[in-house]
Amino acid sequence: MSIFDKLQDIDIRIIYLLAMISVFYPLISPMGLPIKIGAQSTKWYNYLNTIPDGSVVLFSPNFGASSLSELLPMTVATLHHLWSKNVKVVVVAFWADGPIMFRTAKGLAVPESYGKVYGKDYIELGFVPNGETGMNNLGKDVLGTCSVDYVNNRPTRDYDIMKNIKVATDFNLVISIESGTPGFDGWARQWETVYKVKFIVGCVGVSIGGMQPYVNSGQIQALMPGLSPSAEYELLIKKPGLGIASTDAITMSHYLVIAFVIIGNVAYFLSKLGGKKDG
Amino acid sequence: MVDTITLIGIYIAVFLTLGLFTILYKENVWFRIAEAIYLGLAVGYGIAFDLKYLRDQWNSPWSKEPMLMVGFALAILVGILWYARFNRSVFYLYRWPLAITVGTGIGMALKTVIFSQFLDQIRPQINLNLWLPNNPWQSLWNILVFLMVPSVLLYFWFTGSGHEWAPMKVVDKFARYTMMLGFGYMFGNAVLGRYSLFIGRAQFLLGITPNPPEAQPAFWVIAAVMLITLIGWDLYKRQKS
Repeated sequence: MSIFDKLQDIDIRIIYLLAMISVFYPLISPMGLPIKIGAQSTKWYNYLNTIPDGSVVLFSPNFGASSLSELLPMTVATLHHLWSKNVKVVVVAFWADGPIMFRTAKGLAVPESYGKVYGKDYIELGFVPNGETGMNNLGKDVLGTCSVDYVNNRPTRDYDIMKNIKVATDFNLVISIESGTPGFDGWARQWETVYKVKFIVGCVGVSIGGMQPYVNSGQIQALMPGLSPSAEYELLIKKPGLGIASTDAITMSHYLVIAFVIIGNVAYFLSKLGGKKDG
Repeated sequence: MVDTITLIGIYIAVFLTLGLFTILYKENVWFRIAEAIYLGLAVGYGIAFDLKYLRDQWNSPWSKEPMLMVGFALAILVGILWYARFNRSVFYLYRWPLAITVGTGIGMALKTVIFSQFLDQIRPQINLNLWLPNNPWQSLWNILVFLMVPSVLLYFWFTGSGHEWAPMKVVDKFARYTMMLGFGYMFGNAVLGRYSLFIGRAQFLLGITPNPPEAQPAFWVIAAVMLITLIGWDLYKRQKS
């Protein structure tokens, strides 16, 4: 077996070990690599900046603990941005873990520190089951679908913030932070197409391929895919957090993947070449 | 300094994180324990939330009028039929809630899918501006999209014998390269996305702010215990055989 054949057959555990080192080393001793602000985070930032005062935003954390690592930084940064503006925020999740994920993010972007009052400036309506059917129901009848709030278990209609919020058209924007279904396609089918409510999506990196056509068609107004744009967004709003802390590790891990791809391909072609010569 | 309950919570979280990662070494008992706890918690949590939603609904609109109460009772009855699948003699009853759920979901999606996923996607394709004098890079991109989308659609057009026509062979080849680029792009994003998830857990294990700093000592202790037991068990088995 030649060296090139061996390079194509490395024990997977060695690769995992190198992957771990590429992530742990920069986290233990940060290198301070530069962050270049990209188009996606800029678009997201600009879009949220242009929301007029008094707007009503539906914030939907549709992810669970399994994707918390990738989506928490953008959730926290977006909440900081929202709390700093004069907008009302209604939180509804279509994933059962959503309310807990929001609670985690709220602990890092405390609305009260921006002078926001629960029930007046923001409200948590908890979880709505049944995915897309739930989205449809919420669009038709917000108070009927979420009859009590998540925090105090009090009738939703008793809160100041809900006085003028009855149907989907009472919202100016939907922000969906999501890692799967129900998600952007449900919003597109049940809210954007029917009520013309604009929406922006924060997603895990793996979902970009499926979502990009919706961005190109203008159905999704802005897209925040994964951890790197989250770090850029944290820089834009001047709230450094978990995203920026991850940047060195992201870069190093990407370099490692590129190195593996190059080594694998070079070894493949050279071993093929060697085989031909032998033949 | 955190209280004892929080500290126990941190140790459990570190144990579950590392337990799940031990699968990267090989199948083992730590992974099995962590997997069972994680799945059990996730399912239990989901059921509890569904039941809470049901209770909240009953407390609000559905208990107000007799007709609504009957509707609510009927919905629960149909819901209970889901469990009929666990008994062979009444298995057929399980088809009712399945049919209602799937029918409602498909009906609701199909109502708008023609607009949101068909017409709204075709429109920008038709309106593509192929030449932007100040932006040659975007022009090239638009030309590629203009060629790639129809070529891939034609690739999956199986009616007739069009694919045997010589120019169609060129289109098919172009479509294949387009799809390979697309799949490669998605696979690359998937790999790098997994890294993002791992980075998040690594930040937790190392106690990087805003994660609790107590996670780091827990990480070293539990990682050492797991490593020693895994390698020790391997060596013991090798010696025995």
